[in-house]
Amino acid sequence: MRRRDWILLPVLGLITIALLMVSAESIARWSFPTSESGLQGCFAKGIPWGNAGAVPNTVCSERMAESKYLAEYRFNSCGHRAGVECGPKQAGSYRIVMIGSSMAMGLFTPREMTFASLLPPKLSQETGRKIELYNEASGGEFRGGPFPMRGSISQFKEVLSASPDMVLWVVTPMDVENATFEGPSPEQMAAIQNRAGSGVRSGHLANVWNKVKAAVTQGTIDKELRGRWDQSRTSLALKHIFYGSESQQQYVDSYLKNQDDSGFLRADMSPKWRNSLAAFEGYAEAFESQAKKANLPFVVVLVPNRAQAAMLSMGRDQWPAGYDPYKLDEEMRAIVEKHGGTYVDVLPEFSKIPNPEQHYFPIDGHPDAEGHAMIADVLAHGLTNGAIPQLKASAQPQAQLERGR
Amino acid sequence: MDSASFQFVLFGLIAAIVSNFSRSRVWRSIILMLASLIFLAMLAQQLIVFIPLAGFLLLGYLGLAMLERGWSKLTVWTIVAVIFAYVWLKKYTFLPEGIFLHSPYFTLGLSYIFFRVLHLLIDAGESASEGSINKIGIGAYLLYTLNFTTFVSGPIQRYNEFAQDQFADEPIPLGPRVIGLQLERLVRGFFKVNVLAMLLHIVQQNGIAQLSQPISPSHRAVAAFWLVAVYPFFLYANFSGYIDIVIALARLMRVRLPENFDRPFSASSFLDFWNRWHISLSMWLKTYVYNPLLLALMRRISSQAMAPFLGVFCFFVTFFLIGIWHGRTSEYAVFGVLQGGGVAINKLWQLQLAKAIGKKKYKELAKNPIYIAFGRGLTFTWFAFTMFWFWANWKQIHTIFTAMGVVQWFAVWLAIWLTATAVLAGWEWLRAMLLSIQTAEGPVLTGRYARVVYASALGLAAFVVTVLLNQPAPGIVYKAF
Repeated sequence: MRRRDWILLPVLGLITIALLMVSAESIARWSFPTSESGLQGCFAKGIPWGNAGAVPNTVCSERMAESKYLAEYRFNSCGHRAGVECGPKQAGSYRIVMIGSSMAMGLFTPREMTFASLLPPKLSQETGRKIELYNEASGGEFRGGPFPMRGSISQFKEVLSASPDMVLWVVTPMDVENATFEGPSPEQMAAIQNRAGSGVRSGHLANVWNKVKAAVTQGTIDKELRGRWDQSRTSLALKHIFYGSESQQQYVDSYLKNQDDSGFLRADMSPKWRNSLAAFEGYAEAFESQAKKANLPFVVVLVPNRAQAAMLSMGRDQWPAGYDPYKLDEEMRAIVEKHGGTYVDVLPEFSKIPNPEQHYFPIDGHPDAEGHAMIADVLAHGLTNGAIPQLKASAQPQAQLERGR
Repeated sequence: MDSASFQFVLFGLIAAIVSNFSRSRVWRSIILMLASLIFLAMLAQQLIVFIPLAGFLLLGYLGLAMLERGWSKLTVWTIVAVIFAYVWLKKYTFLPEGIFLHSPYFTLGLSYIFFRVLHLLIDAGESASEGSINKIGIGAYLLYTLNFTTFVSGPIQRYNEFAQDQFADEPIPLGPRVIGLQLERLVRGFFKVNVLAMLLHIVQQNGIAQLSQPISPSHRAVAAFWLVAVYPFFLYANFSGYIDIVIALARLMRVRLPENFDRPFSASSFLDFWNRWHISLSMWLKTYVYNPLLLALMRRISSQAMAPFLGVFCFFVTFFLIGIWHGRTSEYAVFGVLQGGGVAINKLWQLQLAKAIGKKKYKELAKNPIYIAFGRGLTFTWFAFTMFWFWANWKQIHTIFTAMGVVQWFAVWLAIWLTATAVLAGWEWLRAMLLSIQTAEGPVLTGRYARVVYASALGLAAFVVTVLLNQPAPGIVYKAF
């Protein structure tokens, strides 16, 4: 080994690492592009969290890195991503007003590909009557008053003012978990505000230097570096590839390791999930009593998250001991029916679908366009199988009726 | 502490640094013993679980002591006792269930200790019968059998090789170049186990999952192709990566461990394959099973015409034993039959072809690149298919083989053979071409600058996958044997 190698070899190693990092990030940014503007643009600035809905008549678009599509969010004069202007229903039609969170709103998916868009023609086809679905679900990160959320009981009046014939509440496990959510932590709030103002570049270098200095002096450099890594597109791309390529069994096994998130899949639910269910029951009771007063059918349906869908599809004999993906379903049915609502159980339908988890974004967890189509099919079947008399599948579906005319 | 984890590598590096504080063999031996004991203590929480292992080591040492005292007539009995103790502790299924110990105990590394103890006993027995006794003290015996670098999955080092380096008055040199090479090998091994093997494992698991799902026959055939083709590469990355790590750590402690792999997928025949795959195991069995068995048979059967077939028979027995050494269930017995059968058929083919076309023509044919390429593809395919009995149980094997019809399986087999022939030949060509780019110091790709570049790249990838993504890699497969 020559003397110069003592300098040359470490430098060569560092250059290799730097080049790889830069090229990996460039390739990841090229392969997983995102749009600059986002859903935040449709919300009033300075209100990073709360029930305030989207600013009426705004349009914004967003391409999430994992998605193939640029999703346009077009909010009507009532601030709803409903695809129609808010107002009275069309004459002769049966109006379902849907409430829920980001999944029901169709986050990251073009509106025409969401299940909110795909479901009405299917229901009309099955029932032989004209069905329209007015989507009042809202979401995004702590934004726009999803159901349930602190304050959404009073917000329910808005739902009733949309002259529904039926209210459909599409719930996800995360909604149940968020029922106890009191608002973002100061760090989360700061992160949201930072992201909202990420376009501002003035003093950027100085900011970076101040952050590095603070991280070193406070001994949080490892946390800071991990945070930086998590925000990189390389991290996102690798996680997307790894999570997406895992087999169903591998994915479920790794998901269940996080006992906090996966507590709702346990046959014996954790106290945290029991608390969440109790809070959820408070919302369900309030919504159902208001719907009852208005003499409206109130229907609740649970759409599984990615891991739950995977477990349902795996089949009972493959579940690890102590786990039951139907447990939350049973608990919710008991709650909803106790207060006079109708619970439509669609989870068994997922057991018939091979690899349903492939139709969710691997990291983000929302359904992709194929996932929305899958959910539309499942909901159409669940809502028309007789549990809701008004939507019972007709002996002569609409297509036949139209042909007969 | 998993055997190829970051913690294990760090532990090994600390042991190597402390070991090099002095060149004295006593110091190095004390550090190796301490490191081995700490390693063992980290593998199990309770002392009681080590009692059967300690008993096995004691039995081996007592046998060794008796043979060293010249009691050569006891050689066979001590060997039989050690084999029985091993089979009993490993709970081989052909023994009645009632005789096993039912409380949990520690058997990790026992298979490799078994080979080391057996080798000491056989050599001591031979020395005793020749009257040349070379005594091994209890300290050296324990140091050799419990050496943490070879404890979990080998390689199976012979005692004289170990003693030559470990107890040398002047230890083998360890300059900057050697340290650099070992660090590069550590990174390479860590990458193989924690990144490459992990990725290949995902592909294999997907193959298994897809075969049990309602997919089209063509998709099913593709899934079967990947399932069969990927496992040998996974096993190679998993095992050879671990071996890279321990060889590098041992070298940093100034001990040279034997190589266990020599580019096995470049083997052009199944016989050649076993000269390149798990070399320390196959060499051990050739020394202590094949050679003595062949000699014994040739003494009894003097017919010249039979001599080649005795070799075939001995190959079968030797490689059958390799199969059943891997595990105690009937799947491994079939695996042994397939390994022994593969080697025996390969030998028979060579004999019959040489007889049919003449030795000279056969030698020419054996050098033909096309013959070599197809032989390489066939070797890979045979090995890949035998792997089902290595990693799967009968239920899984049944599910896999009933997922498709015989014709489809034949098509998959043929596709793997042709693909392996083309891909492996392409790889050999590319490797030869890249290595032909040379400077005065040798091939550029094996030079220190190239090594630093790819060690940095592999190290970065391994860091990202293991530390940042926290992606779990499967454990070392050979740890279980």
